[in-house]
Amino acid sequence: MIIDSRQVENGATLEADICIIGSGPAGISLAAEFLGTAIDVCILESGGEQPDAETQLLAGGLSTGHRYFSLMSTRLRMFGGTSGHWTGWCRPLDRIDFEARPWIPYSGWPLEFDELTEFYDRAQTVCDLGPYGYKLSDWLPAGNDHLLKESAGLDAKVIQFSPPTRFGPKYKRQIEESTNVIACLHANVTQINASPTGTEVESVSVATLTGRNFHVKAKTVVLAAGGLENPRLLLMSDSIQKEGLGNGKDVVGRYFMNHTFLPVGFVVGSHLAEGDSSFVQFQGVHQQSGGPARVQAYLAVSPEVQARERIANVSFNLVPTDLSTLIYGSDDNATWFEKLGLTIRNFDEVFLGAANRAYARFNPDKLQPVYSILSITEQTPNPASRVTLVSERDALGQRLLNLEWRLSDIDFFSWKRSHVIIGAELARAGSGRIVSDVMERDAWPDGYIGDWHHMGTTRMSDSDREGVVDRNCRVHGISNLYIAGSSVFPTSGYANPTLTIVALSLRLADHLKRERNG
Amino acid sequence: MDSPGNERRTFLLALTAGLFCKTIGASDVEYSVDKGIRGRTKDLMPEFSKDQTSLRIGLEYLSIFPEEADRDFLESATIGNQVDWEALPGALSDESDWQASATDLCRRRHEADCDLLNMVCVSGLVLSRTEARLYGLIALQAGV
Repeated sequence: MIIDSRQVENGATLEADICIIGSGPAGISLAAEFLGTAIDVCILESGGEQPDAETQLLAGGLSTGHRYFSLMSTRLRMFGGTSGHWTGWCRPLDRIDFEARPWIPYSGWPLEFDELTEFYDRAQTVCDLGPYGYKLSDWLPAGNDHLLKESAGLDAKVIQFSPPTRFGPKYKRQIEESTNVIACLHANVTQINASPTGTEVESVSVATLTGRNFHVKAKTVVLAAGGLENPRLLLMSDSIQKEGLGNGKDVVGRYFMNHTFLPVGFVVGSHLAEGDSSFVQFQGVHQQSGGPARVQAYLAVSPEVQARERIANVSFNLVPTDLSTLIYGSDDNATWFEKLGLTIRNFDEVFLGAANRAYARFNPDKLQPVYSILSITEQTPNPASRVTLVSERDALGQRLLNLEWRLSDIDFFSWKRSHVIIGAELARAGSGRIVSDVMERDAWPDGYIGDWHHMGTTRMSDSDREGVVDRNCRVHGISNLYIAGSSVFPTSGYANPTLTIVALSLRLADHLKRERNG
Repeated sequence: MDSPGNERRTFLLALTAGLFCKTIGASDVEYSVDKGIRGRTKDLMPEFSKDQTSLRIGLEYLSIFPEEADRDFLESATIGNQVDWEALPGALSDESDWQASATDLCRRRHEADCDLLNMVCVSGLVLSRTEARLYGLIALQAGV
């Protein structure tokens, strides 16, 4: 069933076994696991089936740290949540992302990569992907020589692309027809009401922008509102615990992590023009036993080199670029180039010289490929990078959040050092050379503002001094409050978070079912 | 006529410079040099003097590391020294043997640099130290 909360009787109390706050990938994939069961689920979603400006204003906030996007632009308050503007990139975290690394403070998950494998596999179907396989060797036919073989320094992997799945439309009909799952749209949570001892949640207060107010009482409550809204809801819910619900150790909102997502240079080299580009151009639909999938290859710094160099996890996408348009192109290409934020000295000499010679040899209709490099770097956990509340309030009278995004020295060092690593690997293999100014930088590029991955703000840890939730995503000290989504990630890796978000939701669903059964 | 030692020195510089420059793309000797002279190392060497990109990279490297603007040092660090050359097999005319040995020497040094991340950034290019020194040597050789 899907209802409009603006039609709910004022002062009403809805009851359910599980109340899920948020209908994005985390919330809906969790709820879907209970369809057709004897467990009643109530989903509370702030928006409607389509985004509307008035509701979207509730996603606003301040940003006082490293330059960042408007908070409103990075999130969607609608049925299906931020999957409404998801680009579909899927890959699991790496094994090393789960490990406590001595050179990365606060690293390590309270569970191991292998404990998530089963759920990653199930998440493939939820995200409309191919079979679970993320090594390049899973997709490249045996014996196929490719441009960049795996080396001691670099691992070759693939991204799989979801169509992308829009979780709202995907699950709408099932929820509409369900007798045990109800989705309440236009329902904004204003308080999570704890018991006088603060050890359990008694109810959730809900308000609509039209002035309706009601409550939901549930045996179990799950926050699934995203990496910024989850901590906000906890901090707002301060009627019993003045520092915010579950925040007795001042961890809620801390450790905000984003990915550094930057175009940083090019790969050039005559060998790249001469044909063995099967790796770099390894993208498109490929067949593997178990079904086709749309994939793209990429490189990641190997765990051994990360440990040796004491850097965070870093990946590189090499994207074919038309050299002729780069050199002789229109203003659009100049604009594209400017957007890269690069300053390459004597660029015209380097490229025009090579391009002129190449054109002299090649048929002018043949274009010499150049590959642009996109690096995605893990942000290391940093307690000073955080979300707090400010005194300004939204249309519902709730305090806005302030994002104070902080990057650390190791984040910058990792980004710089990784370019030396990939430059060395390419040079060693004779595959070409990197053209980049990263090695000469002493600060992040002007205008760098990260991406839209909000992680870590209610992180997972066995200790309530370093985490908000335990290994089962239950809030420390509160028996029936759980959190789903990327806010529970203790580390970010470089992987786009959605696949892991869904995997963790499926794992949480299994846990809640086991709890209920005994 | 040059003494055998000097001839070998010139030959080695030409060969190894050609080897690395060909793979880089920024200084693509293969595309700028007439096919007919590629196998003739004495004729090949002057071509480097005409390759403005190679010279510019070499000059930039030497501006960053002025203490290395010494031909003996750069030769020793890249194509080897007198002792290395005298150890090479074959007569002066046996270029294939020289080519194999000379390129092997430089390639090993280049790969060792890559393994140790002994890389530098010159003109925006991320190069191994050996490679960058080779460009520096080309610049010195050209008398720039």
